[in-house]
Amino acid sequence: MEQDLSNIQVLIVDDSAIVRKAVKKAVVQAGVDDSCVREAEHGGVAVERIDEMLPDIVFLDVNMPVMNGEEFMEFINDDGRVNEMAVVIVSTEMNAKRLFRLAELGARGRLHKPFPPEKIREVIIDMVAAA
Amino acid sequence: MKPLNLDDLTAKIDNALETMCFVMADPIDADDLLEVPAMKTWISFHNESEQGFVELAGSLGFVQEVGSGLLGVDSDEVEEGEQAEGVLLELANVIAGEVVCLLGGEEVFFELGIPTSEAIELDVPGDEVSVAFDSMGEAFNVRVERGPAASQADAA
Repeated sequence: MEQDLSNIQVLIVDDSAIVRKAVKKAVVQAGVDDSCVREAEHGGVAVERIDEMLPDIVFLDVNMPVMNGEEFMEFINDDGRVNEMAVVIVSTEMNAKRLFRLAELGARGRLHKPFPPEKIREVIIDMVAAA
Repeated sequence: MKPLNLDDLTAKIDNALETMCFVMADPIDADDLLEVPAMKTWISFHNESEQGFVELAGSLGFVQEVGSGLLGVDSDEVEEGEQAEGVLLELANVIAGEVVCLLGGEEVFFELGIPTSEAIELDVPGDEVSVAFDSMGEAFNVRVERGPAASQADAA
């Protein structure tokens, strides 16, 4: 039986409107209800969003203006909310030291760009299973 | 500086276009481009020893094709202007990630800039590598220019 993902709360954090749109489309195609998906254009807005909704999964870009992905991770690490959501890094980032730092801060998964859209569903299922 | 292998770069770009945007493009000789495509974006990269940038140039038709694959819409639904520019900016981000991966792998750190529509130039003269593609008559060109970091150039 196919897993019901319709009520999974998802937050997409990326400074590119195009990426947010593309990831949102893949998330909805994976079975998540459109109303459960929120967006933020950088880490600062993401902080506001997680005050409004408690996401189950955050798809987080690293290289962003204002508050980057690493700074966002530090923020939710300091206030303890990192334990309440699964953060998945969506980035071109390959540097082992930075990826290790993000994992240390609590990132639970990683999607390396470029990736096919169907990979999003696999990640959502993995994160839900691990919760 | 580690040389940037043209074949590796071509393969990485080809893979990015196919995997993320469902675009099949054929590599062509950069000299065979009849004209430099109209839309351009840039993204910088640097570390302690070198600096550089990636320049993308695509025809509107090519960018719409990429946007179509990325967003899952018809290519004519990708609007000229802000939306098409956003597509090329994101493609610059992905391709620059592949470039620094080829240059440094997982161990040598490169900081990537934010993709921009404003032209980037190096402070010091650098080496240049260029790769061109054709996708159903639509042109796409990627140019990578690299040089020593400003501090290294001063020391020399």
